[in-house]
Amino acid sequence: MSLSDETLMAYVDGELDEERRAAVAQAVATDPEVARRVAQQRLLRASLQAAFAGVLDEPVPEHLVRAAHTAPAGAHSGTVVDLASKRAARRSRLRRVLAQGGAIAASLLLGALIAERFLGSGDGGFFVTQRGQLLAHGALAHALTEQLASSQAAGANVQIGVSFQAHSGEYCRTFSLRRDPGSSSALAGLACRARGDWHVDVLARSAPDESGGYREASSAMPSAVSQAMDAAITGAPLDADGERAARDRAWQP
Amino acid sequence: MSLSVENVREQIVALLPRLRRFARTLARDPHDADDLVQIAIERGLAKYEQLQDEANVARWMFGIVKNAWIDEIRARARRERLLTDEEAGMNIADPAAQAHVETLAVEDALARLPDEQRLAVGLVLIEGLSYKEAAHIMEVPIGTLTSRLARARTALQEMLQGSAGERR
Repeated sequence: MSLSDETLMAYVDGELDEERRAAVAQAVATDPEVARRVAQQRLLRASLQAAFAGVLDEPVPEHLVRAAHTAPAGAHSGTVVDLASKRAARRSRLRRVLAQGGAIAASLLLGALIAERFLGSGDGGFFVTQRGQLLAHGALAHALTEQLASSQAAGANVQIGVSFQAHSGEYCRTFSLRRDPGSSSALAGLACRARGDWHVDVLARSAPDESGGYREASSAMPSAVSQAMDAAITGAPLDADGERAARDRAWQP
Repeated sequence: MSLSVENVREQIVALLPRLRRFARTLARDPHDADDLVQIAIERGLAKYEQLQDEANVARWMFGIVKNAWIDEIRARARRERLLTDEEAGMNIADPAAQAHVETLAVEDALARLPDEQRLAVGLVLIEGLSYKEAAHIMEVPIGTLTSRLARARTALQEMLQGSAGERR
């Protein structure tokens, strides 16, 4: 008996009637190939559930509970908003927090491939996490501390973009990096110096230019990075002299 | 027999963890997901009187989250502001989740699916609803749901095979 993928999926989903369920169960018991295909479907289902199970354990944000208790009920209860306006309101809140000099709260989730390439073990990745904060590590931390945008080697794996002072007084620098020469994907981000570490507040994918080299870090920054910079910056970006002077003071405000 | 608004409010509060999870499978960015849930709460309560015929608050609320998400997709298309790759790569994440590359791989793969496939996966494979319930919420025939699910699973297997295969 040959069983279609859809039948095996329905079996795993508990959607077959008793007769067909028993037939598949029989095939699973006697045909290793069917057993393997069913196991593969079960594994996928389990992986998906595991990936999102944590959401159920998170505390529900207070504003949602409040909305459920107090949002107007019934017809004529007022206007309905869409996600774009909700998001715009949230962005302006974030911008206010940033403007007040608070730590930039955004931390980043990397795509899996990026994560594997950049967070990979071996020679130590570019990042470590500490109490939920992403910190620059290894070659990235070194470049952020030492490298000057005005005199960096074009082929270096870490390229420094713009250095500036944030409202909080901290120095921040944008950067882009790639894991391997010729790698097709790259990361760009913003890191700020605080308590002796470079706190990576924003990361985003950025595609290298067509020639296979780097984009100019300052000219083609992913919008997520340039927006974070716009929100955090006070005054003008540092020029070459300002950058050197800040480095020589070990990025102390 | 109509439900009292207090009863509906309580049921919605009890559903919030699942609504948040469902919204997360659609929107990925946790803040966007919570905004979707909030929109659904507001819309759901505004028209809770429609529940008279349909006392299943869970199914009803999942449907409203789905509709809010579809509105957002359409609005994005109108604004020609579809998520760019660099935005999709960025996420305000629970810091504890950062370490879990496995979870990242699954979320990343799910985010690459077409919206209607992601919806089917969220309802059936993650929320554990029956085909019948999921098809009802998606407002499609069961055959459409099952073919979307099959395509989604095949695509997810292919995307996840690379990372899982190396560990085997």
